[in-house]
Amino acid sequence: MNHSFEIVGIRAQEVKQIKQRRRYLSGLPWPALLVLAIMILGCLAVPWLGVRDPAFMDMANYNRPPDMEFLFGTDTMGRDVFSCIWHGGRVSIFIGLAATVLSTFIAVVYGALSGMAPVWLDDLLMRLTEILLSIPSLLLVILLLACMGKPNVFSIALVIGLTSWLAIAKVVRTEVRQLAEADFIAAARIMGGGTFYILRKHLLPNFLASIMFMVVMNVRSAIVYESTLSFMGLGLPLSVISWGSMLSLSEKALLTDAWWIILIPGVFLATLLLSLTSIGNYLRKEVNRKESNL
Amino acid sequence: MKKNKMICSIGQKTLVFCASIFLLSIFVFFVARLAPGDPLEAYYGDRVERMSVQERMRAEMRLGLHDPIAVQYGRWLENAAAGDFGISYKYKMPVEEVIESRVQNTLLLGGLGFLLIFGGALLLGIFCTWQEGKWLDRLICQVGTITCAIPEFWLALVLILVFSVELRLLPSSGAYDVGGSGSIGDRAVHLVLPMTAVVVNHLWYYAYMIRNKMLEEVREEYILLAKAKGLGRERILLVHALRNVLPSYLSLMAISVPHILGGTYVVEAVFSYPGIGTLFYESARFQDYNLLMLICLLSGAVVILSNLLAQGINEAIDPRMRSTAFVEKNQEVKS
Amino acid sequence: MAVENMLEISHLTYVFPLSGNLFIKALDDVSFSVRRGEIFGLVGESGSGKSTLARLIMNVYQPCSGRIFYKGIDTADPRAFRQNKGMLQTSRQFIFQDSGTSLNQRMKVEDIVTEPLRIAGRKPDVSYRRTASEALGQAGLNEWYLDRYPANLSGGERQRVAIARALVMEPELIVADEPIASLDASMQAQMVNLFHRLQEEREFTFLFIAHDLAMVKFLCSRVGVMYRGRLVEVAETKELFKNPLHAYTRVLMASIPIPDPRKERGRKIPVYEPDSEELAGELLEAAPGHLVRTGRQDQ
Repeated sequence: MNHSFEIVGIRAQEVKQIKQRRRYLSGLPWPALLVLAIMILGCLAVPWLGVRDPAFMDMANYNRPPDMEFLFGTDTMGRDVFSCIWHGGRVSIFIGLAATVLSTFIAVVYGALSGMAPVWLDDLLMRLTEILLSIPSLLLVILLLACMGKPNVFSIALVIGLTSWLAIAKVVRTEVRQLAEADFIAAARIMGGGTFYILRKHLLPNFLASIMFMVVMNVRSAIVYESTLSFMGLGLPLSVISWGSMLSLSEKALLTDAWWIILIPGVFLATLLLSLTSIGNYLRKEVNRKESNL
Repeated sequence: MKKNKMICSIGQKTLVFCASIFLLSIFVFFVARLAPGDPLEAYYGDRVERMSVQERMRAEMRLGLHDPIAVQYGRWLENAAAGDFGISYKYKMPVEEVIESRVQNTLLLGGLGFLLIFGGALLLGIFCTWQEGKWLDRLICQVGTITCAIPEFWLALVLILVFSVELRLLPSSGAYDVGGSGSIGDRAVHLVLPMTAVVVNHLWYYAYMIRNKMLEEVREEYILLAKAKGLGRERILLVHALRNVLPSYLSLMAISVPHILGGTYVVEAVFSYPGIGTLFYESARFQDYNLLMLICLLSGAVVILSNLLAQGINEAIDPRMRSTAFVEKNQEVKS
Repeated sequence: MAVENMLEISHLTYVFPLSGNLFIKALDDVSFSVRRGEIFGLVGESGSGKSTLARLIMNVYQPCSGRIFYKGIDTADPRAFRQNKGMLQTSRQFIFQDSGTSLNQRMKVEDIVTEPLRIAGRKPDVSYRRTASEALGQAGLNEWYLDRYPANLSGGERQRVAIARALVMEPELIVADEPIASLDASMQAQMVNLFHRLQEEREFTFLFIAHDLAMVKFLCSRVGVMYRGRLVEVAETKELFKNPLHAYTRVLMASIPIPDPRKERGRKIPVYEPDSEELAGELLEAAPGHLVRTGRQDQ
């Protein structure tokens, strides 16, 4: 047989550098990132800031409103609220991150296994998540926390992590079910790639974008859970300073009209949550920017 | 044929419901029993500390706390089937009665809140679509995002601080005045703050969803067609676009029941509102197993029921979700 | 046996289960063999079970019944497959129809091409990058492509990447499932040339699946024709095109476009009407090396 055509595919192409960088950066939620950075830096740097010992109870100065000496006032036990905010932020943010890492890990493994499993097993696993989802998650957290004995930072992170993976797992499962049909997964199988290899190399990079929003929102809800639990007296004890446990003093503060004990930790909490929300919204797929037909 | 399928679908859903409740009861029963803490304390209060070992044994025997967990569960199941859910250790009366005395308060707060949230969200969502991109829409979006980010319990606290402590306008706790008759006016006054906390916290989340759905909808071609036919903006938005959004909104309403229920429980605890939420919080704290169990089952039942309802709505809207229907359309089928 | 068979398929049946008692019979009693070093073409309309067959050969699906011998190993037998897993996965390679979905969009070309090496745990002579660049070179791409993502490439370039990925393992058998179907005509010609040259250089066995008879005629030494999950005719390419025996093959031949618009315009393309008896019959040898499925004619 003769070669009637020549191969014309071989030719060097010019590398076209498309300058997308500036447009990419301008879309970021800068205010939220800035607030988040300041909060995290402040919490990390607090030992070097020269603030008072947050655990020290100054009996001479309890329930003092904010002034020059105590920037944010003191609480009903005579602790410096300014110092407590930064130290407490460490605990709150740590719990948020640790719980999210745990829940994301469980969700990815569970969702991917369910997505790649045969149909009957997939059905079973999904039914299970539906049943677990049917318990209002706060009930579940309280129930599990009761089993763990005296709550501490790690047990709270663990319990929140263990209860908040369900929604992400469902998304992962749907994504994996769709992706598993794709030829590149079949290609990797033919090459001999194992389940975990395929999960790590092929599936994870492809569905990561679609769960990032939920992951960020999970950090947010973990922080909310911690503060709610501690506030209700089911979470961290008063001696472990977090924004939630600071707020658990608010019942007493209401009686003495000490607004700063309620408002200041709450404002910090709400600001952190707000910046996380706007980062989450940024990660969510935008509504199409087409012109409205209305 | 069609009717047959519907009965089949309902039967299947009933089966799923029963199985879910059964599994849920096992789960809650075992987890609650694993918890450390002394249920006797809930029953006898401080007297527990003065009890001798024999007295303790006898008390545990009487309450059936001595048997293995599986046996306890079997007994509970047997009694539950007969309609007896046991006695609340704390209140010393059948748990059904304890819950009965509280459930109407929660239904009032949760149910009314639910209606307000979804009614308000619909109106707000449509309004924002109407005003898309204008300053009012942007303002509502910003404010909404902020209200959504605030934790519920703190919002409740701030409401108490402002309206009860500073302004002294509204009561901060309870469902009616102590010693009062519980007249409608009295109840309404006590309901204002908790209701505000529940509604404000959830409203924007759902309004935002409506807004997004509507924005997608008004970008469809058929809207252009309707406009070309000379229909007015109001008519296009309220009749044509809304009709396509509503069914999925209904299923969203059903799915969101656990969120709103959970939120109601938190708010109840902050306002010491005598509802199921406060009761749950107490029973978890004092290991009041029987009460805990029934609350979890009831909450779970409501949620599972609403999930199934959402599924049903989805199937009714979109026949593709029924797998058998899909196969029937496929031509290359041999059986 | 005079000629060694690289691949031998006997009485292969595969059924796709749907829900309940519904199912689709994708392959029905298919038997043929591919000799070492030849290019075997498999043609048939879409839905005739070609892709399913390819996937069965590559152990993506497990057959319902029948056997697949690769170099004498029954790969349809799970135990035999497990025992020879490493060898089977390296010496057989697969090229997919749509390179858009068969390449992971989030991997660079370099990683895509060297992935089989990494999975097999094979160390390259110099570096992974060098090996990838050489494989790309053989497929007609230069090293500029190493750092690209599949989304930045054209269909033809992507398919070349997929070919480079198959070549990098130096396989003995390549199964290509309609590798040119998603390309435009000039690209198809280039690809077929590339396959032809590579096969001559490397001497691998090549199972080429297509629905375009013209390309098969140019490339393959033997051809099998499939219809509705059944193999209806197998013959040497020249013999098949000279003397098509099965009614379906004749219709397929007649549908090849004639490169003359005046003749093409006036032509009527016959439609094949399936004859259940003709399809249900046995695959019999009509002439030396020419097998055809016959029913009524014999009786």
